[in-house]
Amino acid sequence: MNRAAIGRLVVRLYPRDVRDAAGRELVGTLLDAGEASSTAYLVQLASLARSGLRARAKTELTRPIGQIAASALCWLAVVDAMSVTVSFVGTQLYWGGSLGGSSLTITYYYILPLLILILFTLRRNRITGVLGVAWLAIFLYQHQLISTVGFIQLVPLQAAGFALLIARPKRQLPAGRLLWPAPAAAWLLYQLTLLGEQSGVGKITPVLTVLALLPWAPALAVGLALDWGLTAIYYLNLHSIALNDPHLLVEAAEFAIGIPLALLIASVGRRLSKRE
Amino acid sequence: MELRPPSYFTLAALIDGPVHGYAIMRRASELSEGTVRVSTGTLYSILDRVLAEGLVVAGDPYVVSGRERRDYRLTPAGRLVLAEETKRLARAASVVGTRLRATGALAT
Repeated sequence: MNRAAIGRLVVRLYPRDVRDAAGRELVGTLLDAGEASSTAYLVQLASLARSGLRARAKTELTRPIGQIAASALCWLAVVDAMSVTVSFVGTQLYWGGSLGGSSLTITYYYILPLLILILFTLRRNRITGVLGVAWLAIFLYQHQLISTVGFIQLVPLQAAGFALLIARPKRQLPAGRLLWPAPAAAWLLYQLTLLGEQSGVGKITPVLTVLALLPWAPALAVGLALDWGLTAIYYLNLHSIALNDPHLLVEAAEFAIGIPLALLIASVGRRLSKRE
Repeated sequence: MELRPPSYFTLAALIDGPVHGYAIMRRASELSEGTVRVSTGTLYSILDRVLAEGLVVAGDPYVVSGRERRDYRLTPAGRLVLAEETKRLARAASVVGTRLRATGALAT
Protein backbone atom coordinates (compact mmCIF):
# COMPACT_ATOMS: atom_id res chain seq x y z
CA MET A 1 0.00 0.00 0.00
CA ASN A 2 1.51 3.34 -0.99
CA ARG A 3 1.46 6.58 0.96
CA ALA A 4 -1.51 8.03 -0.88
CA ALA A 5 -3.59 4.90 -0.25
CA ILE A 6 -2.72 4.94 3.46
CA GLY A 7 -3.59 8.64 3.53
CA ARG A 8 -6.97 7.98 1.92
CA LEU A 9 -7.61 5.29 4.49
CA VAL A 10 -6.78 7.60 7.40
CA VAL A 11 -8.91 10.38 5.92
CA ARG A 12 -11.85 8.01 6.31
CA LEU A 13 -11.64 8.76 10.04
CA TYR A 14 -13.11 12.19 9.28
CA PRO A 15 -16.89 12.63 9.15
CA ARG A 16 -18.40 12.15 5.71
CA ASP A 17 -19.12 15.84 5.07
CA VAL A 18 -15.45 16.75 5.66
CA ARG A 19 -14.28 13.87 3.45
CA ASP A 20 -16.60 14.93 0.68
CA ALA A 21 -15.53 18.56 0.89
CA ALA A 22 -11.78 18.21 1.41
CA GLY A 23 -10.79 14.54 1.45
CA ARG A 24 -8.54 14.61 -1.62
CA GLU A 25 -7.01 17.90 -0.59
CA LEU A 26 -6.18 16.47 2.84
CA VAL A 27 -4.35 13.58 1.18
CA GLY A 28 -2.54 16.00 -1.17
CA THR A 29 -1.33 18.16 1.73
CA LEU A 30 -0.34 15.07 3.70
CA LEU A 31 1.83 13.90 0.80
CA ASP A 32 3.37 17.38 0.37
CA ALA A 33 4.11 17.74 4.09
CA GLY A 34 5.39 14.18 4.49
CA GLU A 35 7.60 14.17 1.42
CA ALA A 36 10.85 14.94 3.25
CA SER A 37 11.15 11.62 5.07
CA SER A 38 9.27 8.60 6.37
CA THR A 39 9.30 10.12 9.86
CA ALA A 40 7.77 13.36 8.58
CA TYR A 41 5.11 11.37 6.77
CA LEU A 42 4.28 9.35 9.88
CA VAL A 43 4.10 12.48 12.03
CA GLN A 44 1.69 14.10 9.56
CA LEU A 45 -0.30 10.89 9.27
CA ALA A 46 -0.68 10.71 13.05
CA SER A 47 -1.78 14.34 13.12
CA LEU A 48 -4.37 13.65 10.44
CA ALA A 49 -5.67 10.59 12.30
CA ARG A 50 -5.93 12.53 15.56
CA SER A 51 -7.78 15.42 13.95
CA GLY A 52 -10.05 13.08 12.01
CA LEU A 53 -11.10 11.23 15.13
CA ARG A 54 -11.59 14.50 16.96
CA ALA A 55 -13.73 15.92 14.16
CA ARG A 56 -15.81 12.76 14.10
CA ALA A 57 -16.25 12.78 17.88
CA LYS A 58 -17.32 16.40 17.74
CA THR A 59 -19.89 15.68 15.04
CA GLU A 60 -21.33 12.68 16.83
CA LEU A 61 -21.30 14.04 20.37
CA THR A 62 -23.04 17.29 19.47
CA ARG A 63 -26.06 15.66 17.85
CA PRO A 64 -29.41 16.29 19.61
CA ILE A 65 -29.70 14.34 22.86
CA GLY A 66 -33.10 12.91 21.90
CA GLN A 67 -31.64 11.48 18.71
CA ILE A 68 -28.69 9.93 20.56
CA ALA A 69 -31.03 8.47 23.20
CA ALA A 70 -33.44 6.98 20.63
CA SER A 71 -30.55 5.52 18.65
CA ALA A 72 -29.02 4.12 21.83
CA LEU A 73 -32.27 2.28 22.54
CA CYS A 74 -32.26 0.82 19.02
CA TRP A 75 -28.63 -0.17 19.46
CA LEU A 76 -29.49 -1.81 22.79
CA ALA A 77 -32.06 -4.00 21.05
CA VAL A 78 -29.78 -4.97 18.16
CA VAL A 79 -26.78 -5.53 20.41
CA ASP A 80 -28.90 -7.70 22.67
CA ALA A 81 -29.66 -10.05 19.77
CA MET A 82 -25.95 -10.18 18.98
CA SER A 83 -25.01 -10.69 22.65
CA VAL A 84 -27.49 -13.54 23.10
CA THR A 85 -26.00 -15.37 20.12
CA VAL A 86 -22.44 -14.72 21.24
CA SER A 87 -23.28 -15.84 24.78
CA PHE A 88 -24.81 -19.04 23.42
CA VAL A 89 -21.83 -19.77 21.17
CA GLY A 90 -19.35 -18.83 23.91
CA THR A 91 -21.05 -21.02 26.49
CA GLN A 92 -21.25 -23.98 24.13
CA LEU A 93 -17.61 -23.56 23.12
CA TYR A 94 -16.50 -23.25 26.72
CA TRP A 95 -18.34 -26.33 27.90
CA GLY A 96 -17.87 -28.33 24.70
CA GLY A 97 -21.59 -28.35 24.00
CA SER A 98 -23.43 -28.59 20.71
CA LEU A 99 -23.75 -25.50 18.55
CA GLY A 100 -26.84 -26.94 16.89
CA GLY A 101 -30.33 -27.57 18.21
CA SER A 102 -33.99 -27.61 17.24
CA SER A 103 -35.19 -25.49 14.36
CA LEU A 104 -36.60 -22.97 16.85
CA THR A 105 -33.25 -22.83 18.67
CA ILE A 106 -31.38 -22.29 15.42
CA THR A 107 -33.86 -19.62 14.37
CA TYR A 108 -33.61 -17.85 17.73
CA TYR A 109 -29.86 -18.09 18.27
CA TYR A 110 -28.53 -17.83 14.71
CA ILE A 111 -30.88 -16.97 11.88
CA LEU A 112 -32.82 -14.06 13.33
CA PRO A 113 -29.88 -12.37 15.13
CA LEU A 114 -27.77 -12.67 11.97
CA LEU A 115 -30.53 -11.21 9.82
CA ILE A 116 -31.09 -8.45 12.38
CA LEU A 117 -27.40 -7.51 12.31
CA ILE A 118 -27.09 -7.67 8.52
CA LEU A 119 -30.23 -5.69 7.83
CA PHE A 120 -29.36 -3.13 10.51
CA THR A 121 -25.91 -2.70 8.98
CA LEU A 122 -27.58 -2.15 5.60
CA ARG A 123 -29.85 0.48 7.23
CA ARG A 124 -33.01 -1.53 6.61
CA ASN A 125 -34.34 -0.36 9.95
CA ARG A 126 -38.03 -1.16 9.66
CA ILE A 127 -37.54 -4.79 8.67
CA THR A 128 -34.84 -5.07 11.37
CA GLY A 129 -37.43 -3.94 13.92
CA VAL A 130 -40.03 -6.42 12.65
CA LEU A 131 -37.55 -9.30 12.86
CA GLY A 132 -36.52 -8.10 16.32
CA VAL A 133 -40.08 -8.23 17.56
CA ALA A 134 -40.41 -11.75 16.11
CA TRP A 135 -37.16 -12.68 17.83
CA LEU A 136 -38.50 -11.45 21.19
CA ALA A 137 -41.78 -13.29 20.59
CA ILE A 138 -39.86 -16.56 20.12
CA PHE A 139 -38.00 -15.87 23.34
CA LEU A 140 -41.21 -15.32 25.27
CA TYR A 141 -42.76 -18.40 23.69
CA GLN A 142 -39.75 -20.46 24.77
CA HIS A 143 -39.70 -18.95 28.26
CA GLN A 144 -43.30 -18.75 29.29
CA LEU A 145 -42.36 -19.12 32.95
CA ILE A 146 -39.74 -16.37 32.89
CA SER A 147 -39.16 -14.60 36.20
CA THR A 148 -40.01 -10.93 36.60
CA VAL A 149 -36.31 -10.07 36.89
CA GLY A 150 -35.49 -12.01 33.74
CA PHE A 151 -38.32 -10.31 31.92
CA ILE A 152 -37.13 -6.86 32.98
CA GLN A 153 -33.61 -7.67 31.86
CA LEU A 154 -34.49 -9.17 28.53
CA VAL A 155 -37.70 -7.71 27.16
CA PRO A 156 -39.04 -4.14 27.73
CA LEU A 157 -36.10 -2.01 26.58
CA GLN A 158 -35.32 -4.37 23.72
CA ALA A 159 -38.95 -4.26 22.60
CA ALA A 160 -38.90 -0.47 22.79
CA GLY A 161 -35.75 -0.38 20.65
CA PHE A 162 -37.20 -2.62 17.97
CA ALA A 163 -40.49 -0.71 18.07
CA LEU A 164 -38.58 2.54 17.50
CA LEU A 165 -36.87 0.99 14.49
CA ILE A 166 -40.30 0.18 13.08
CA ALA A 167 -41.97 3.45 13.97
CA ARG A 168 -39.10 5.91 13.34
CA PRO A 169 -36.73 4.14 10.94
CA LYS A 170 -35.12 7.37 9.76
CA ARG A 171 -34.32 8.66 13.23
CA GLN A 172 -31.60 6.07 13.83
CA LEU A 173 -28.10 7.59 13.59
CA PRO A 174 -25.86 5.89 11.04
CA ALA A 175 -22.59 6.09 13.01
CA GLY A 176 -21.19 2.79 14.17
CA ARG A 177 -23.07 0.50 11.81
CA LEU A 178 -19.87 -1.23 10.82
CA LEU A 179 -18.46 -1.28 14.34
CA TRP A 180 -20.67 -3.96 15.89
CA PRO A 181 -18.08 -6.74 15.31
CA ALA A 182 -15.94 -4.97 17.95
CA PRO A 183 -18.48 -5.40 20.77
CA ALA A 184 -19.30 -8.89 19.46
CA ALA A 185 -15.64 -9.86 19.78
CA ALA A 186 -15.42 -8.20 23.20
CA TRP A 187 -18.49 -10.04 24.41
CA LEU A 188 -17.12 -13.36 23.15
CA LEU A 189 -13.85 -12.69 24.93
CA TYR A 190 -15.76 -11.91 28.07
CA GLN A 191 -17.87 -15.03 27.71
CA LEU A 192 -14.84 -17.23 27.23
CA THR A 193 -13.27 -15.87 30.41
CA LEU A 194 -16.57 -15.57 32.19
CA LEU A 195 -17.39 -19.09 33.17
CA GLY A 196 -15.27 -20.02 36.11
CA GLU A 197 -12.49 -17.48 36.54
CA GLN A 198 -13.75 -14.04 35.71
CA SER A 199 -10.53 -12.13 35.77
CA GLY A 200 -7.97 -10.45 33.59
CA VAL A 201 -8.56 -8.60 30.36
CA GLY A 202 -11.77 -10.43 29.49
CA LYS A 203 -13.45 -9.24 32.63
CA ILE A 204 -13.09 -5.55 31.90
CA THR A 205 -13.47 -5.85 28.14
CA PRO A 206 -17.15 -4.83 28.04
CA VAL A 207 -16.59 -1.56 29.88
CA LEU A 208 -13.41 -0.82 27.91
CA THR A 209 -15.27 -1.45 24.67
CA VAL A 210 -17.99 0.98 25.64
CA LEU A 211 -15.44 3.66 26.46
CA ALA A 212 -13.44 3.06 23.28
CA LEU A 213 -16.53 3.36 21.07
CA LEU A 214 -17.94 6.37 22.84
CA PRO A 215 -16.35 9.20 20.83
CA TRP A 216 -17.03 7.71 17.39
CA ALA A 217 -20.46 6.25 17.93
CA PRO A 218 -21.95 7.52 21.21
CA ALA A 219 -25.36 5.99 20.57
CA LEU A 220 -23.77 2.58 20.04
CA ALA A 221 -21.65 2.99 23.16
CA VAL A 222 -24.54 4.09 25.36
CA GLY A 223 -26.73 1.30 23.92
CA LEU A 224 -23.99 -1.20 24.71
CA ALA A 225 -23.54 0.17 28.22
CA LEU A 226 -27.27 -0.11 28.85
CA ASP A 227 -27.57 -3.59 27.39
CA TRP A 228 -24.58 -4.94 29.23
CA GLY A 229 -25.57 -2.96 32.29
CA LEU A 230 -28.81 -4.94 32.35
CA THR A 231 -26.67 -8.01 32.96
CA ALA A 232 -26.11 -6.52 36.42
CA ILE A 233 -29.77 -7.29 37.17
CA TYR A 234 -29.08 -10.94 36.36
CA TYR A 235 -26.11 -11.06 38.75
CA LEU A 236 -27.97 -9.24 41.50
CA ASN A 237 -30.82 -11.72 41.18
CA LEU A 238 -28.38 -14.61 41.19
CA HIS A 239 -26.77 -13.17 44.29
CA SER A 240 -30.09 -13.04 46.09
CA ILE A 241 -30.95 -16.64 45.30
CA ALA A 242 -27.56 -18.31 45.18
CA LEU A 243 -25.45 -18.43 48.32
CA ASN A 244 -25.06 -14.67 48.66
CA ASP A 245 -21.75 -15.03 46.86
CA PRO A 246 -20.05 -11.59 47.09
CA HIS A 247 -18.35 -12.17 43.72
CA LEU A 248 -21.74 -11.92 42.09
CA LEU A 249 -22.17 -8.45 43.56
CA VAL A 250 -18.79 -7.50 42.12
CA GLU A 251 -19.90 -8.81 38.72
CA ALA A 252 -23.09 -6.75 38.95
CA ALA A 253 -21.16 -3.61 39.89
CA GLU A 254 -18.68 -4.11 37.05
CA PHE A 255 -21.46 -4.28 34.51
CA ALA A 256 -23.48 -1.46 36.00
CA ILE A 257 -20.49 0.90 36.16
CA GLY A 258 -20.44 1.05 32.34
CA ILE A 259 -23.69 3.01 32.32
CA PRO A 260 -22.71 6.01 34.50
CA LEU A 261 -19.22 6.02 32.98
CA ALA A 262 -20.60 6.14 29.43
CA LEU A 263 -23.11 8.85 30.29
CA LEU A 264 -20.56 10.91 32.20
CA ILE A 265 -17.91 10.76 29.48
CA ALA A 266 -20.46 11.40 26.73
CA SER A 267 -21.73 14.41 28.62
CA VAL A 268 -18.24 15.82 29.24
CA GLY A 269 -17.26 15.16 25.62
CA ARG A 270 -20.41 16.88 24.45
CA ARG A 271 -19.71 19.97 26.50
CA LEU A 272 -16.10 20.14 25.35
CA SER A 273 -17.10 19.67 21.72
CA LYS A 274 -19.69 22.42 21.91
CA ARG A 275 -17.25 24.78 23.57
CA GLU A 276 -14.57 24.44 20.88
CA MET B 1 -11.29 37.36 19.54
CA GLU B 2 -8.17 35.81 21.01
CA LEU B 3 -6.21 33.55 18.66
CA ARG B 4 -3.95 30.73 19.73
CA PRO B 5 -0.47 30.75 18.15
CA PRO B 6 -1.23 28.08 15.47
CA SER B 7 -4.38 29.97 14.38
CA TYR B 8 -2.60 33.31 14.52
CA PHE B 9 0.28 32.17 12.33
CA THR B 10 -2.06 30.31 9.97
CA LEU B 11 -3.94 33.54 9.33
CA ALA B 12 -0.66 35.44 9.18
CA ALA B 13 0.55 33.06 6.46
CA LEU B 14 -2.20 34.43 4.23
CA ILE B 15 -1.30 38.12 4.57
CA ASP B 16 0.56 38.31 1.27
CA GLY B 17 -2.10 36.56 -0.77
CA PRO B 18 -3.81 33.22 -1.36
CA VAL B 19 -1.79 30.06 -0.73
CA HIS B 20 -2.54 26.33 -0.52
CA GLY B 21 -2.44 24.09 2.56
CA TYR B 22 1.17 22.96 2.55
CA ALA B 23 2.39 26.49 1.73
CA ILE B 24 0.47 27.78 4.76
CA MET B 25 2.23 25.22 6.95
CA ARG B 26 5.68 26.30 5.71
CA ARG B 27 4.88 29.99 5.87
CA ALA B 28 3.50 29.70 9.42
CA SER B 29 6.73 28.01 10.49
CA GLU B 30 8.87 30.71 8.82
CA LEU B 31 6.87 33.61 10.29
CA SER B 32 7.07 32.15 13.78
CA GLU B 33 10.80 31.48 13.32
CA GLY B 34 10.17 27.78 13.79
CA THR B 35 8.39 28.10 17.11
CA VAL B 36 5.02 27.09 15.66
CA ARG B 37 4.76 24.04 13.46
CA VAL B 38 1.27 23.49 12.18
CA SER B 39 0.69 19.85 11.25
CA THR B 40 -1.68 18.73 8.51
CA GLY B 41 -4.48 17.70 10.87
CA THR B 42 -4.21 20.86 12.96
CA LEU B 43 -4.11 23.04 9.85
CA TYR B 44 -7.39 21.69 8.53
CA SER B 45 -9.06 21.95 11.94
CA ILE B 46 -8.05 25.62 12.01
CA LEU B 47 -9.11 26.18 8.40
CA ASP B 48 -12.45 24.53 9.09
CA ARG B 49 -13.05 26.95 11.96
CA VAL B 50 -11.84 30.14 10.27
CA LEU B 51 -13.80 29.28 7.11
CA ALA B 52 -16.95 28.89 9.23
CA GLU B 53 -16.22 32.22 10.93
CA GLY B 54 -15.76 33.96 7.59
CA LEU B 55 -12.14 34.92 8.26
CA VAL B 56 -10.89 32.97 5.27
CA VAL B 57 -12.36 31.85 1.96
CA ALA B 58 -11.32 28.81 -0.07
CA GLY B 59 -10.79 28.84 -3.82
CA ASP B 60 -11.65 26.07 -6.24
CA PRO B 61 -9.62 22.87 -6.04
CA TYR B 62 -6.89 22.26 -8.63
CA VAL B 63 -4.43 19.45 -9.20
CA VAL B 64 -0.61 19.73 -9.22
CA SER B 65 1.45 16.59 -9.84
CA GLY B 66 -1.59 14.46 -9.12
CA ARG B 67 -2.22 16.15 -5.76
CA GLU B 68 -5.30 18.17 -5.11
CA ARG B 69 -4.83 21.64 -3.69
CA ARG B 70 -6.94 24.64 -2.90
CA ASP B 71 -5.85 28.19 -2.21
CA TYR B 72 -7.07 30.03 0.87
CA ARG B 73 -7.45 33.77 1.09
CA LEU B 74 -7.92 36.15 4.03
CA THR B 75 -11.21 38.06 4.00
CA PRO B 76 -11.39 41.69 5.20
CA ALA B 77 -12.87 40.32 8.45
CA GLY B 78 -9.93 37.93 8.78
CA ARG B 79 -7.45 40.73 8.19
CA LEU B 80 -9.21 42.81 10.84
CA VAL B 81 -9.13 39.97 13.40
CA LEU B 82 -5.44 39.41 12.65
CA ALA B 83 -4.72 43.13 13.06
CA GLU B 84 -6.63 43.28 16.35
CA GLU B 85 -4.78 40.24 17.69
CA THR B 86 -1.45 41.72 16.62
CA LYS B 87 -2.26 44.95 18.50
CA ARG B 88 -3.33 42.97 21.56
CA LEU B 89 -0.10 40.97 21.56
CA ALA B 90 1.94 44.13 21.03
CA ARG B 91 0.18 45.86 23.94
CA ALA B 92 0.74 42.86 26.19
CA ALA B 93 4.41 42.65 25.16
CA SER B 94 4.84 46.37 25.77
CA VAL B 95 3.34 46.26 29.27
CA VAL B 96 5.35 43.22 30.30
CA GLY B 97 8.50 44.59 28.63
CA THR B 98 8.19 47.86 30.57
CA ARG B 99 7.92 45.99 33.86
CA LEU B 100 10.85 43.73 33.02
CA ARG B 101 13.03 46.66 32.05
CA ALA B 102 12.09 48.42 35.28
CA THR B 103 13.31 45.44 37.25
CA GLY B 104 16.44 45.09 35.12
CA ALA B 105 15.46 41.66 33.82
CA LEU B 106 15.31 42.97 30.26
CA ALA B 107 17.98 45.16 28.70
CA THR B 108 16.75 48.54 27.43
